[in-house]
Amino acid sequence: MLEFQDVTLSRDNITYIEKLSLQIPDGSVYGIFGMDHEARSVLVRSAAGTFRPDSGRILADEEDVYAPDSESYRFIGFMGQKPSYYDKLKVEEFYDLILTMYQVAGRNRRVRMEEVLELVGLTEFRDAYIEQLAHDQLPFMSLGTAVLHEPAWLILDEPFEMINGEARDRMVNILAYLCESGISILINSQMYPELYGFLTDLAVIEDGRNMIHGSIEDVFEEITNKSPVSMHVLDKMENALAILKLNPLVERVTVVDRDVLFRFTGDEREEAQLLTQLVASGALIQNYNRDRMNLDDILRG
Amino acid sequence: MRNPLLLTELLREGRNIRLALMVIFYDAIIAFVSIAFLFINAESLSGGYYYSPATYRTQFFMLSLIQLLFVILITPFNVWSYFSSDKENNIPDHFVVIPGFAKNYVLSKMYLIMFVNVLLWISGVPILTLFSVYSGVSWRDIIRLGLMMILFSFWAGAVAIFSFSVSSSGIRAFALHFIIVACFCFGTFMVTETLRALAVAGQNSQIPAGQLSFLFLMILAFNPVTSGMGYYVNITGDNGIANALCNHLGINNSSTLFIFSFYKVAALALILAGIILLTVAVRRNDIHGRQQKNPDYSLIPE
Repeated sequence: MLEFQDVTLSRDNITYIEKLSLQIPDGSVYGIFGMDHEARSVLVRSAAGTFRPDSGRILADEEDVYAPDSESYRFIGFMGQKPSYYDKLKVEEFYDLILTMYQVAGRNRRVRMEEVLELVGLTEFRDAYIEQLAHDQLPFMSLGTAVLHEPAWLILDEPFEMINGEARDRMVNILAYLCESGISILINSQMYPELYGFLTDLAVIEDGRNMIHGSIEDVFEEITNKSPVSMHVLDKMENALAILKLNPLVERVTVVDRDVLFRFTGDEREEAQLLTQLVASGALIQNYNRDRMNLDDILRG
Repeated sequence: MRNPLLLTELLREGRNIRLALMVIFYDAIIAFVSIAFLFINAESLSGGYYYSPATYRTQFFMLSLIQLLFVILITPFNVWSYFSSDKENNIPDHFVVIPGFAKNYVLSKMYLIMFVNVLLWISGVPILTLFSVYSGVSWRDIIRLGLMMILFSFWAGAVAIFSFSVSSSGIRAFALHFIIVACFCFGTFMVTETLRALAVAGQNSQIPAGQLSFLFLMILAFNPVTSGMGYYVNITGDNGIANALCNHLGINNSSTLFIFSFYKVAALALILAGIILLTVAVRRNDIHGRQQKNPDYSLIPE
């Protein structure tokens, strides 16, 4: 499990994440969404070990990622927004360096390199200099460096940023394959519709805090329940507003001409009782419905 | 323990056209200066100037000085290039999480700097050998020059790596490098001279008290000019400048102990200063050891 315990992340007097607690279960494909692109990126980078939190802890399989003798780097693979590589090196040489840095030795070394080259589609480019690779091949090379040491966790920060079309589909297929082979994935991406069938859980970060999190189904239900209610009142507006004011489950009432918009946090039965009270108050309600929150807008940021 | 980044750095540098151009430029300078000396000597001889081994040894020292200054001046440019290209390619994104990476990274850069400068010296040896044959300078002096190049490479490299590790931009790092070099080269002299003046004023004497001499020696040991002075004395056999300075500071430089050990201690002091600077640079860039401050030129990515 990957766990954030009261984590605060800031830089240059800007607080991106404040006292966030989140648990990401093993075997999941966990998406991080929200309006603040920088906050999402900082969050996944902190999980990868490249952005130390100001306070709180980040645990990977119960090991503090930032402890001085932490071995968590062995089972975490990270792919950043921009590809990381040594120029003037060939693909094979760079992968060899990665394997050395992660202390992968013996017969496994050659076998693993062949597997990863084939996985990311760079077998025929193994002797090519990295700086000669095409622009849309670099993310795949970068993905290869993240999985060379067979991590248990793969953390991705905007992996689809530099690619589109067929390359994106190929990347999704590779990630699906990695997930099936037992790797847990934490991904920060704006590619919501394409990832919808791929994600198992997601979290929506709002104002540096965890707004919603859980399985896809739970998150959708929660978002639906939080959709605002709109009603059009023809007469006796003050009666309707009085009922709304008295109800503790009603929040953020907004009135524009004869339209009233408010958030209702109760369940279906409680909502039906509210509607009954509104009608009984004498207010003439012409239209009452839930304004479905646009999930796309939330998840795309 | 083998540094896995060292081979990578050597490969990258070897495949870069910059190294070849640096060698060509370096050899061209040495060759041009050597030819200029030969021309001056020929002119002197034709004008009736008699053959003077001391003159040739002084010229060899000047040739050595040019090479040593080349090392000090070119090192920050090289280090700037190394750090900026790594930052451009987001190198730290992948490796900074690995404990020990910061140390391996800094040391690999240090070894690379020393390798490049030693390579420059080796490339210039044929020209120096020809000059030595002409001037009668010993092969030992060429070896001494090589050792000085290694010493100055290490010291200048450590200063440059430290500067680029603690500064927030390349320009500031560059400026910091030369400020530190100036502090070592001129600051130590100023401190000793100030202490000497205060001591003289306090005693109404021209010569400071003997117990201050040790303090002056310790301060001057960290001055690279001191090591250069030792090299000058070895090459030319001329103690004049050293005698004048030591008399001014009240240091007895005629003792066997001083003659044998001081210049060696000065070399060790430069190495010690370099080690301290490199240690600070490693700690500055180790994400596991400190709170992140996010300067642009550290290893820690944005």
